Amino acid sequence: MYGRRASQLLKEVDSCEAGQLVPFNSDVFDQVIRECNEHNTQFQSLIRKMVEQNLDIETTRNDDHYGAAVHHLSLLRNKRCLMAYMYNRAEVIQSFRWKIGPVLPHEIQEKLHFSEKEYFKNHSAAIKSYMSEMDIDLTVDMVPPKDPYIQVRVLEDIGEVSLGDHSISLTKNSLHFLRRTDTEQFISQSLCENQRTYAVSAVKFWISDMELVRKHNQADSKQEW
Amino acid sequence: MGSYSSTEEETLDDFGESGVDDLVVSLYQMDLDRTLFLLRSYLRLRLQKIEKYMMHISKSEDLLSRLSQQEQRFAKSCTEMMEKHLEQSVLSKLPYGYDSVTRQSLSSTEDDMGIPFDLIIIPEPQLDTFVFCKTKSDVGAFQLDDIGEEVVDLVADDLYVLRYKSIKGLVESGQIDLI
Amino acid sequence: MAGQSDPHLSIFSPSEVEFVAEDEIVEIVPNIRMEALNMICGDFGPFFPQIASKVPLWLAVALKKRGKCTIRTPDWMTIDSDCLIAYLSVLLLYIFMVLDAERESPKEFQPLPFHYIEISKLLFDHARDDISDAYLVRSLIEDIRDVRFHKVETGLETISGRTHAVKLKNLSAMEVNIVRPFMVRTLQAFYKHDSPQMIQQADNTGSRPTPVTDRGPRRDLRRR
Repeated sequence: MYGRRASQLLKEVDSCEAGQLVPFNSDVFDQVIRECNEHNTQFQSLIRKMVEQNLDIETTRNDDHYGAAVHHLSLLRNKRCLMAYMYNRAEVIQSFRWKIGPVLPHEIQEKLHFSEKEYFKNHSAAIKSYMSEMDIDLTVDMVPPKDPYIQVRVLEDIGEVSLGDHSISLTKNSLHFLRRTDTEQFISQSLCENQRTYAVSAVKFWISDMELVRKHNQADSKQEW
Repeated sequence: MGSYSSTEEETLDDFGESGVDDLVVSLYQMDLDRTLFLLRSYLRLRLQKIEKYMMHISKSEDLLSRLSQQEQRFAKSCTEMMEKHLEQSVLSKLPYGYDSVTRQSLSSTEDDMGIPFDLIIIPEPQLDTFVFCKTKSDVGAFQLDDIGEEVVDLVADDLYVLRYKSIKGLVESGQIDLI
Repeated sequence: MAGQSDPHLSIFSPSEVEFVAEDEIVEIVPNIRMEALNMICGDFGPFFPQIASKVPLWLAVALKKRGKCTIRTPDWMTIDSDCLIAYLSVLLLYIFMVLDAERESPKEFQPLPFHYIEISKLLFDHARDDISDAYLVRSLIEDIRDVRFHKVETGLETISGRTHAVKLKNLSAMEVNIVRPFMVRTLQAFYKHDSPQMIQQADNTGSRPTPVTDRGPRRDLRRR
């Protein structure tokens, strides 16, 4: 049946989880392109036949006219499917710039058509040039900031430590309020520990609850619609 | 806003040098972090809207005029790149007469055997959808449809779910907030 | 933000909702002296020991974490306030509703701060020792939240093709964020299938002879 292969491409896009990508289906894609050219050949030959019979192609309504119309419309349908396939993939690909970064890992690269790779590169460049014009990096700070300072208890005598513009003395069992980033090295070496006065389990409780409701909503909506 | 935050950044540096209380420095740092996050989120969201509706925006002078100079340039290069991509991956392989981005086919007229001739993908924002909103002041009886069958009494500080299209005017005049 | 058709763009993450709530003003009692803070988000202070002062929640939490203040529990989170009695009556109503299935369920949401979930969460996390009867208050707030979610769910069931506007008086930020995707898709689907064009088409095939003009009265989630 005409147009079936093209719709197969769209089904592939549709069955993929939102924001994910399946490998570019060059087999089916090329078949659809061939189908398009075949339709055009058929269409042209039917029109030629009508012209040879000295029929007015604008007004004649014979078998050949309807045959030509079927080929013409099938070609248009294939074109729409191909365009929608590429466009929808391009949307996912451009979202990778925000989610992954300017360099795509190998396993994603493998799934792309050469033109898609180029599109990703050009699109990233457009974002980059916007950011440099605005003098602001928009690829950082994706989640709301939290208090950058944490309270730490010093577990071993560390001594005088220079932290950027000033230095402090970290003696055993003393408590300090320091930038989270400054404390990471000491915490990972077990020289300091993070003092958490209050349990964070409450946060998890609320959030996991919301996730549940959201999933419940999604599941529901899939059933109904 | 950008210059505002960079001023504060400088102030923060001064604090560091003049040995102002660490506590105060950390509080100002948090204020700055929050502001930068808001600013970045705002700009990011606008870019993502442009990415999504680039062709639709590029077609409309009114929509383009709402973008900053930098955003307009971004929208323009996005559209060009998308067209180039579709061109080299699909259109260049199609037969002559069917290889236009904006027209179905060369012979397409207004009505191409039942298919409108520009029925090609140009994603547009869906304005006819429902949104959550909050009234700032009493609006009174408000007509939601064209024929006056749907009338809702909008009371101050109430929360409603309404169709965006019908309340667009109220949002633009600042009588109602989207939430 | 909510004006987007794409549900992925129009939804906020729980941490973004919390971020917004952190701008709500609360009262603190500092235990230190500190100059006024002239910040991008506003001017606060000067601060004096034992003199109450109003600051955004994020600032209150930061000072609390550094041991520089206590946070005053908002009225609506205290046991002896009138507000809480109102919530208790909600719970009672809820129980009545379960007992008497014939009776119409209460559909009103009681007035609570728009960010009550986030504010109470942040205060329980960071200023638990400043809240009197913290345990009881917390379990009450959880109960209230559950009852309200139940009401949202039953409210959703009443949406039909004739729902063109839904009034959700006093629904809070987090609750809005959670029902948003489902609610918008539902209303949209009903609206689409109930539109004159769709009915017209059905008319033509003779399967649904509903008059186009009969769209009936608007239905609310809450009884008017």
